[in-house]
Amino acid sequence: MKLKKITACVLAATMTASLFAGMGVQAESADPEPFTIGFPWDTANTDPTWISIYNNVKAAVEAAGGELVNVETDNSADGLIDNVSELISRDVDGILFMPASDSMLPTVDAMCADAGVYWGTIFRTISDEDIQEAMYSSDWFAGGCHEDDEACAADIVKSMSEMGVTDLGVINIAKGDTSSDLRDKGAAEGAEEAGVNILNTTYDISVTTDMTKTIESYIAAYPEMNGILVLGTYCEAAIPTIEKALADHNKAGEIKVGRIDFESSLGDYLHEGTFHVSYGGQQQIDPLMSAVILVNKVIGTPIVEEGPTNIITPYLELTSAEEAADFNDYFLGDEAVYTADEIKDSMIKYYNADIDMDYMDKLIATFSIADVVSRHSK
Amino acid sequence: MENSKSFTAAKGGLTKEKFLNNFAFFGLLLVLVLFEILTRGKLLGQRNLMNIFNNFFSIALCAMMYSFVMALGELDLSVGAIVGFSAAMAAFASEISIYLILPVALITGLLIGLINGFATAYLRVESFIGTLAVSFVFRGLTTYFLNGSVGIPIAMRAFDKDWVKIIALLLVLTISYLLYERCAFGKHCRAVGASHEAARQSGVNVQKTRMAAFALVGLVCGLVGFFTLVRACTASSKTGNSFEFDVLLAVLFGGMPLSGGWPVKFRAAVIGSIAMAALKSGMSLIGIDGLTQQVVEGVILIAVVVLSFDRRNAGVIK
Repeated sequence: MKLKKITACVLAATMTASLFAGMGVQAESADPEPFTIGFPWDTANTDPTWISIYNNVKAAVEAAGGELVNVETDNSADGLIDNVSELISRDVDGILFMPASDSMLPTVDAMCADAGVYWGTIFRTISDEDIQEAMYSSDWFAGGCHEDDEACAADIVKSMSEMGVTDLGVINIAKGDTSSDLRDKGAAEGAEEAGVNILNTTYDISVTTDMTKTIESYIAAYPEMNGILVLGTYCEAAIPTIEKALADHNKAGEIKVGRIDFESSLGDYLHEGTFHVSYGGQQQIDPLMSAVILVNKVIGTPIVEEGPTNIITPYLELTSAEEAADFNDYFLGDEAVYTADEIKDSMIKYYNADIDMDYMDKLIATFSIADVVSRHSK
Repeated sequence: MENSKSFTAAKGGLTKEKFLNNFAFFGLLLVLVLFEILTRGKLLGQRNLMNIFNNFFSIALCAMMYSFVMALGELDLSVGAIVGFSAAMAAFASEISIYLILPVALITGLLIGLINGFATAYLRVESFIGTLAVSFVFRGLTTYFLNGSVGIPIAMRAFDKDWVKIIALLLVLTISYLLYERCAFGKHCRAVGASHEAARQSGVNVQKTRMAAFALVGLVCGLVGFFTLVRACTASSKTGNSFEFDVLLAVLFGGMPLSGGWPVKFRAAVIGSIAMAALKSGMSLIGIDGLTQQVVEGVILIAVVVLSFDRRNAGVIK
């Protein structure tokens, strides 16, 4: 009887222990440890594209059970350094940001290395070879996404040339910005190849009044101008502002307009025939993938074991009002371009051990407006 | 009669005048208590205090010297551009020798300050317009010369240490306090701000006083440019962007009246800078989005300008 009791107690204890042990294993394998990702972003900007960038980063972080910590930024180098310092003081596990220049990166890396925090970038590559070499050998740089800005700018100039553009007025982001410089370079190459004359380039327009003045100055100074190309801008409602200025001078439709980076108003102007071509769509996939790269690194399952993970995201071309409408519905809404389940199953290595660079490259290759529509309209 | 105007909290206690003279203290206290509660003690936590200090540092450096310009009843809207241009020139100087970074930043700032002072004092350009014009000129030159951004050796981050900043802050605090409260220069600035004609007839050299006040702001902006440069190790066309508004907001938040003159208190620069840094950090910690932050700052600005406006002297022709 006593033996039975002892045996029963031992069995009960064993079962209880195994139950807890099983639960332990279950808990460990179910989800990664909670983590936080810091993201300096200008949430005061109400442009739908800027909002969608934030939403896509948030979706990627939350899909893996993380929390996104936002701090306001002006996206300048010194502002971002302050942001990184603030996020480190708030004990985040990783920091994702859009670098203002290559030269600020060693400082960020040194700060993150001191604090033991991983960091990653969105939208920007590292052009300076010395800085690139130093960052790629850092243990704390997770990597990031960028686009082939140079090729894209060259292609859009050639595309506008095929539409009959010979004399082009250009708008771009501030000089020194990596994307701005690469797009300038690409536009110059495309112009030379296609025989297009670049009349002038204006940089760093951030408000609509300056955009209007610039376009009006172009119209007054260059009567031969038959194309306007926005290589990049942080000005909200850039295309409606340009279209209004052109319409006020009876030039709408006569001067061909193109831009890199989609915005929500393009469909209306494509429909009216006063806007002609845009390359973009990367503004949603790039931040999402960049966040995925960082999240994988932070939770201990990096996509690439050695060194940073770098993914080049493709530019999509927008030439019809229908595509623009789909873009507005499926890229600029509250939802990210991949759902939480899609991100979890196909981008977080913790849940899917098959993920590696080849896997990610194949996934990126299938990304298009039609792809997002087909997945999300179900 | 006087008693009837008071908000007496207790007998012989808080009068309206006392409240108005010290509302910046109350504002700072309110910000600290409110956000300490809302952030559940994170605001004044050790790590965040250093963060607040970093935000406070540049603004306070400039705000302290800005007191002289405010006392004159003038504004300097070029401080951001001076910081940016000084940082750019210092970054170029680093290509020759890293020992040139600090002197070049200081000299550049001082020279631009002298230009501001000359335009305001001798050419009689309204400081609001003159410094705005100077701001455009030097922003343009910064973009032109930099043609992007210029980095400096990462080793220069050694100067981005807290102890270096604390020494610099104490140095500027001591010099500016002594100049403002203990030297004739501070009194001359306030006298000119109260009535430049009366000051002139009392023997104050109005033009030199104005020139010196703007030069001091320029000099300290050069110092801010240096610290901004060694912090980011890069100078770009955006360096110092909106800094003029941060400084202006801080001094106004501290209770400095735009009307200038004797009501301009030196302590307002320090209190306002701390309050601004704490407010921004607190709002960020509780996750207030950028739009709401702008609204909150705007409402506070209107409130403090109304409270600090010196109505008694508003009608005096300067």
